[in-house]
Amino acid sequence: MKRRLLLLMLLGMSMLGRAQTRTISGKVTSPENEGVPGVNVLLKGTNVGTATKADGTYQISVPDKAGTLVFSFIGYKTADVTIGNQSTINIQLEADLVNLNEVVVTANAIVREKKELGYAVSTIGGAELVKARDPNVLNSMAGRIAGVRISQQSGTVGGSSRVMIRGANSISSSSEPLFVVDGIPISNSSFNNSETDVVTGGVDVGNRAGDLNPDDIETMNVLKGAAASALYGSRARNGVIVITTKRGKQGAKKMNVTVNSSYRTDNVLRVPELQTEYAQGNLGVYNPQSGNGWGPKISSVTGPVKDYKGETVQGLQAYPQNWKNFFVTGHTMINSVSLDGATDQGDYRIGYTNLRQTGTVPGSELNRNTFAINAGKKITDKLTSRAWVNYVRTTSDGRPQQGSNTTNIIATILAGLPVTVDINELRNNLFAPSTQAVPAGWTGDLARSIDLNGVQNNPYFVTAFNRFSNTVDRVYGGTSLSYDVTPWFNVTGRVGTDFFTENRRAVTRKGTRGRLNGQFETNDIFERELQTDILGTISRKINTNWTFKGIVGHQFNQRTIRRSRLLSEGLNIDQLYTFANAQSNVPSNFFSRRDIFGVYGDFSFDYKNYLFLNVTGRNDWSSTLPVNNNSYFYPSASVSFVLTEAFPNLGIVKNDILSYAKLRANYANVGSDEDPYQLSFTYNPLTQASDIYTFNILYPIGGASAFGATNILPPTNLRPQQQTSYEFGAELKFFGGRLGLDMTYYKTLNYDQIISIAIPQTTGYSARRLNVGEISNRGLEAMLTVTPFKTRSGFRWDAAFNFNRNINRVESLAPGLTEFITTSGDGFGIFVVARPGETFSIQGVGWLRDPQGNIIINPTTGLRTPGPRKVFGSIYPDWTLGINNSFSYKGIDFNFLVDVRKGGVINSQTVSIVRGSGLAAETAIDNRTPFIDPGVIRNADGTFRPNDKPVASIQQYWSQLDNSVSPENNIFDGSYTKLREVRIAYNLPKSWISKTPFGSIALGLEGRNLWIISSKVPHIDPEANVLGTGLIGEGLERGSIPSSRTVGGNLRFTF
Amino acid sequence: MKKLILAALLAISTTACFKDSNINIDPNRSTSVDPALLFSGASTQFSLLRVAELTWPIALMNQMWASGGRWGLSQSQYDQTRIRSAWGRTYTDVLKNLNVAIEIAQNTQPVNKNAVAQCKILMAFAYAQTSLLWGDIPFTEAANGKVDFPKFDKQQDVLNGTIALLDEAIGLIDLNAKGIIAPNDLYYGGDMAKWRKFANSLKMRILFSMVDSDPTKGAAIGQLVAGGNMISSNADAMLYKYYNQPGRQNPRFSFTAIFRGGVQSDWYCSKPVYDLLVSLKDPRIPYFYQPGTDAAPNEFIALGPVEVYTTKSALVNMNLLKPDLPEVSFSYSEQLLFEAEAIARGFAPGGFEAATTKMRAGVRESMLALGVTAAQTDAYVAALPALTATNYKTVLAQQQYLDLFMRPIEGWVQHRRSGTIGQEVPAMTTPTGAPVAGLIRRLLYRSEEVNSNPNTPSGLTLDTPQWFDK
Repeated sequence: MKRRLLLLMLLGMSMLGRAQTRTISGKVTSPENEGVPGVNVLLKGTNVGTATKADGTYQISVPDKAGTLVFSFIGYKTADVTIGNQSTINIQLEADLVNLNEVVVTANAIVREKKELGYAVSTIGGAELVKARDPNVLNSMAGRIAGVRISQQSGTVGGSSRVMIRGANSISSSSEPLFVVDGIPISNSSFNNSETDVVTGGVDVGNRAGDLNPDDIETMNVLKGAAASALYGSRARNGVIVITTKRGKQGAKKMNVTVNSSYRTDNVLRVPELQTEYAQGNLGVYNPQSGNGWGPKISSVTGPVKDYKGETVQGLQAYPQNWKNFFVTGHTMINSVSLDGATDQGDYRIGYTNLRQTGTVPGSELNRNTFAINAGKKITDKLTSRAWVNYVRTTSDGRPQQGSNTTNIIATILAGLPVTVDINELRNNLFAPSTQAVPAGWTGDLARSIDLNGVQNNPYFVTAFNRFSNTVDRVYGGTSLSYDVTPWFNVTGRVGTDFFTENRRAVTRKGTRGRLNGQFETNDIFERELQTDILGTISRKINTNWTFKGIVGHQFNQRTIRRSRLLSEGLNIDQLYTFANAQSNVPSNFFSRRDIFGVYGDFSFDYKNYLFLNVTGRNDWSSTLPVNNNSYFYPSASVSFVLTEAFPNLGIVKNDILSYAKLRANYANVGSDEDPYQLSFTYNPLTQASDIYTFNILYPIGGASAFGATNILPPTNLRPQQQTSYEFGAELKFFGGRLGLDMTYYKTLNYDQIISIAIPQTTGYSARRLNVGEISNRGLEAMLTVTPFKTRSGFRWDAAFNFNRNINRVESLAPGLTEFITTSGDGFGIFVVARPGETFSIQGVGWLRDPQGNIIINPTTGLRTPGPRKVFGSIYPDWTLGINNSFSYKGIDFNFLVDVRKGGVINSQTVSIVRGSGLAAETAIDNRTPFIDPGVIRNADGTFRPNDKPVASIQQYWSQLDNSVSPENNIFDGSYTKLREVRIAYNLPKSWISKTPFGSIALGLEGRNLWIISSKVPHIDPEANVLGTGLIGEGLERGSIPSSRTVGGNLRFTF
Repeated sequence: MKKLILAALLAISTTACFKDSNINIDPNRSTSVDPALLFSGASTQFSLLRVAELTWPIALMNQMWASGGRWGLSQSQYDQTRIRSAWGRTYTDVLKNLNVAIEIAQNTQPVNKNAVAQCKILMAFAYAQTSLLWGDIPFTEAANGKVDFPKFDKQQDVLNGTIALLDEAIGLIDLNAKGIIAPNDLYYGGDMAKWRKFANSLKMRILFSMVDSDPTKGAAIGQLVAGGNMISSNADAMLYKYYNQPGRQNPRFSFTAIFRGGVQSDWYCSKPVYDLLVSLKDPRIPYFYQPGTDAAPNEFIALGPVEVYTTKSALVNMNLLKPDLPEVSFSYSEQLLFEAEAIARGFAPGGFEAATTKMRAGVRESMLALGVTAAQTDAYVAALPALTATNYKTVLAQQQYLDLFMRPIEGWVQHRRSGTIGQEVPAMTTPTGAPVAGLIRRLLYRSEEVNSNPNTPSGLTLDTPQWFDK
């Protein structure tokens, strides 16, 4: 956009030297009465023109009185003013809701007019991102773009957010889109992509796209289909998020200074509702050391009794707010400053942002410093250059563990905390005398941490000492050189890279229950992506009707990962985390590299500026495929037709009923490679032998090291994976833009996927790798925008509805294979399964039912009986809807966003635990009177009679509903309605600050994730998911940190 | 110009097709390996499964220990969700790697016959164990990656197959050559004479599991006893050693150390075993158990299978859960008791007097290994009734079961073969809340296998007897 603008401006300026007879000056203002910079002012029918300055003023020399000045600017209606005798012409522009000339940055930093595009693109302007700043910029997209689903994975400070565009494209790997910044792909890895990483005491370490700094972003374009793949390569098949960073802008001064400060607070949105009546114990008998609520009524325990510490107290007391009181208010401060400027010879921008955040888990914090430099220089008339560098340093400390199977998991500890325990006492007594027997020779702090029953740690002990910390140093950027060989032929070269090192350390202090000897894990990660492009662009008018634009290019892409881990166990000295202090150090390392060469072409034909045809083709050679089959070609074609420009004389068009209509269609095929090193039969050096428990045997043992042959049979005759997709869409605007509809129907088919298909383990192997499987997505995206209300005084109400329905279907698996287990909720009997003809579903053992669907009750116990494995529901929603309302009046902007999800299921381990432990509110109803569970009993003759056997106790009833027996009662409809965001922004009128050094001042108030308006999941935020961004599958919650409700304010000013 | 660039681009691309590239050669893994390294991995994994994952659920199901409800009562009620990885890992991490090791050893010149023999012996052990847990299992088509849906061989065929494997192995053993040696032979440090003894003893153990259903095996047992060359001292015992170092400790200790701060509070004294000990006036009670924290010294309160613990309940003695205790795969006392049985049942000559002597020797070794004093041991052993045609089944079975107190896998086999259904020694009853009427007699196939292998047998219940179980 700016490039085009700049060109026009340059054009305009070059006209100044011509014969002048008189000067006209004036000011162009917005409907809000503020000066608009950069407006094109052109004498109609000539090349004479100029652009307005930063304050909206302009001066233009025109030959005589005759003529008309044309004022045009993106976002406003073009205005024609007859000059006549005037020497001053002030004009107020009217907002243009039709936005005919919107431009979009598409593949490889190529700027296109939106109307040319035969595929769906959505744009979020940088201004939107800085009004309500979320530390993870992805979260700002939630609910705003049709077809894009953002889900925040946990309430961990700096936690990750999953992005999915138009549904899952792969049976076996994650379908995250490609992120591209200024033409260079950047990493969105999280290095949390194995099940053991996330399920067993995993830490949500965030995803690398979270490093993007909202203040440096000019626009974010979401390319939803595969149409951009020719230029980005196969990774674009899951969609692309194209980010253009800010550049220097020409303003009234040589240097523009922008300062933006935000302050926000975070509080946990939702914690489980607990019962307040019952103490810990078993079947109503008090046991001070039980981690549950199955004891007697608290009110019935009077007189001297031992409390959980073993001290004698007079009766017990309930502390119902333990969960809430554990979490603290998190604070976030984001301060950014940027300097920028531009001349017709070049531009520059320098930005610095500091983010300091503390989380809701005590002691968790995140700091991020971002430096951004972007500068362009016009070396000669034909040669221009640009370079940009971003440096991000992120440090965090105290991120909590989630998942299961370790004793450090905060949510699990809290879920087992008896109501009679005062959490404040735990906070203030990390080192009180222990109630537990301790191993001989243990003294001091080791022997004195308060715990509950020898199993659970004091949660404050965990947050104080068992800390996860990481540091990420990341640089991404690039440089480009562009040469205009002729006015219609340009050659551009670009080199870009993104690399980072991440150092992680997770320490567990000696004395921690479950890890009594202490341990620490050190993890160093290096990832680098390098990409070079050389491309030639031809742009020629063939004749008056036809214009041709062609791009031919070559691309090289290399990705390397290096990782080393060291697990150090058995500390000699408490809290000394050095390798030499550990009795055992088990190192492991990993390296991978993959290269791709690609050549591509992109050819467009433009007929009379209303019919656009585009064809692309690309051939890749990948290092990861068999040498004799590593080349693959993939084409695409798209067409765009602007109906209103083709038929301007139609009645409805003339009368502005149908102001704009564009139809688009596209087809694309994308081939892709696979992960490196999957082709040979290999032997892996083993670091440990393991079983289902968490204490593994480490090698070497007795001096012996060990190897194991691969458990995945390597493929023979591997072919590249394929995706075919098409989409049809229409963009319609009515009544001058007061009503708009942009809708798309799409269908994507992925086939020949390279997957490790599980084979019976009795073969000696757990999987065989081969080309199989088809998975399809079809769906509808619609964005409806309405301006129901608009007054001359400037009041305006806009509403936008973003609707998305995606139907994901596994079309086929390998011959003979009835299902494919993608992610198992190991240990809880819950599986995320792909079955032909169905979508990804959560499965597990269900209750045994009679043919009518009634639950069959065990006649001796009165309890439900586990039956065969069944499908509980899809992990994906049926549809999602974002409703955004915005009201503006004289510089005040009020905005609220409601997010609706319908369908899909979620399994919650937290719910299972609080219920199974008798702590959830619902376990205390009706004074725990045993009741008859509705169901049937099987008669001897095979018929059924209604259940007449009451459960022996409420404790047995809820224990039977535990996840490990059957997840059925902990699986819930994932539908919800959320008030996602409320925002008030106010731009101080220019007149107020004209005497001050400030150019503009904007204030904002914001709230995010404010209110779960409705949800069918008890106790937790229905959005929680333990799997993070690296694994396929959603809908599994395992001891997640509750999500945050955020409230804050923002102050932004320029000099 | 344009053509030139295009040509250049194409030239760059087409010449760079990774033809002679080593980019895709995995730097993290190897394409060749010494079989010794596969052997140490397979043995460690096998031992870990035996001593950990397969120990607790089976000890609880078989009422060898009691759970007290500390981890829920479901395992005593035959819930086997905690036996989750043993089936798969036995095939993928133990048997497959042994198969691959054999293949490599056979393709090396000269062929490392002893290495092949060692792998085959361990393989026979693993197959026999898996069959005695699950019944019919993949054997002939298993663990070689060649058949996608391995068929389930009949238990009889599997057990006969393991005997054939052992015979092959014994035939390959060359005492003058080296096989897999220390440190990778974690059992015998490369001592092939001991491997041969173990192979013969294992063969006898497998034959004993079969003999009730296939009486012809009695003769084979007789031949083995006559041939000798079996485990004949404690030094011959087949042991996998653990060490008191982090990550190398016996997992039975780690469990208590990790979850309970080193204070045993999970495994309780089970009533059927305790009652047996009391009836025998057995001095092993304080060696098997320790009193609950609130119990009087020497007050041992046993728990039924679904009884919830109290602070007075007696526990499995912490001395049996030490970090450096080995996993016992075959003990000398076990050997002696088998020989006693062979003689008593007439498979081997000598009559009841010789059988009694062998039994007393076996019980003596068993008790000394437990740490019982020599005086107590000798007194108890001397008081053991002499074996007769009427008492030998019970008396021997009682001692054999007690001998296997910390070895639930073998203990469960012993219990099932100790008598006809309902007549096992010691007597046990189905726990309340169990899904079947009878005692558990088999594990059910894992859902992973059921879902992926159409050959998996169906229609079996937990109390359906296996072929051997007569």
